[in-house]
Amino acid sequence: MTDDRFEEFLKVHGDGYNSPPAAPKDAMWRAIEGALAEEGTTSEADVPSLASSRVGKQASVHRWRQGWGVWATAAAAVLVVGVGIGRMSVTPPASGASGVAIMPEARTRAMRTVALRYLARTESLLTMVSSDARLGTVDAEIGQWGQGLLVQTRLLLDSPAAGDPVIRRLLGDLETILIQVAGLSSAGRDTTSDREELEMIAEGLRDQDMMLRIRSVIPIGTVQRGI
Amino acid sequence: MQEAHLVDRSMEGDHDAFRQLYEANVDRIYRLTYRIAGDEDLARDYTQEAFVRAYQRLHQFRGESAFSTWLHSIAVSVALNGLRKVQRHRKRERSLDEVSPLVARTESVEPDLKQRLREAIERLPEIYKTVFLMHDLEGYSHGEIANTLDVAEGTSKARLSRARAKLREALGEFAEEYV
Repeated sequence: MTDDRFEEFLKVHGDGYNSPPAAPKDAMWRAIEGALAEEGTTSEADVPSLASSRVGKQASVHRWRQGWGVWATAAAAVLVVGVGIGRMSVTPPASGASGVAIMPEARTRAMRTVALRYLARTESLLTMVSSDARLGTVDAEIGQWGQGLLVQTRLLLDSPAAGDPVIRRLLGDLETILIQVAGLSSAGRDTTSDREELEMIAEGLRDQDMMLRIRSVIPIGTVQRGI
Repeated sequence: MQEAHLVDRSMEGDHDAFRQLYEANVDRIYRLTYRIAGDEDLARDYTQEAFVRAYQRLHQFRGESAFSTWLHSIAVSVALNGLRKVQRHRKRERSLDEVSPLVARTESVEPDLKQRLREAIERLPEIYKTVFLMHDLEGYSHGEIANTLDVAEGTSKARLSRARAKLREALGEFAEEYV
């Protein structure tokens, strides 16, 4: 036998070892943006991000925060104002009217933007939940992060963004999951009950195809284009 | 646009520049993390974490090597560390299974060539396996591997040689396939 023959043999037969599928580039980019953007939405004391809390704060993160911080502030404002306007403007139709309240296009677009951003951040959190469940650890900040998103879920459920039945059903299911996530210890205790709860949450995510449902709602390139 | 310029712009908070760096590197990073992890979710997590960490540490990038090389170093480190945790967890699970008389054992009596090769690769020590995966399966040069793993090129070659020797030893009964 020759070394060359064996090398060739290894390349041919070894290629099937952990042969990679196509990279889910857009989904991963959204998660990366979500993780970095999340840092821009919270104070340094309570940063619930994918990896940042373990690594520390660096100058580049602060610069990213400058960009995303502006978005986060605007998104929060749009969410609150949008919900408020939505409640005021979607009035019951007069008797005999067609019964369809038409929202101004700009507000509809704004609400959709907020909903998509929210879903991107929720996807990041749930990715972290799945990852922690696999590793058998509970990140101390998961519960806190879940609480923040739970509040946003309820605001969105009350907003015109929930007019779409698919979005509404998704938000409803996410609310149930986020209630569980928000109930995880936020005091940094990595307890057995939290780990068991995390595994149950991860199981629920799989059973309901939650990640797939979220990704199917978020159009490719949404975050990049700022839509 | 040149990589160095994209790095500079990313450090200034230009999201589009960082996205371009991501697009230029994500396929190879994902392929490598997948080869190491063998699991879509893990590969995805490790790839994402590598880019997040790279962004957070951009100010530490001195430009002494290519950005892609630096990024690969981070990705390999994230993947190997992450996988060690997963394997520790799985080992604990297996330990529990082993004490249960109800667990069915599924050892193949006569594994075929691919199965035997797979098992042999799995059993390679991490330092040999990483070089084997990068060189023989993903086509990285010894120079790239050396820079990524922060070792000398000679070390990369020696590790690959050792990896192949171990695989050849494990596949002895299939020698007619490659002689």
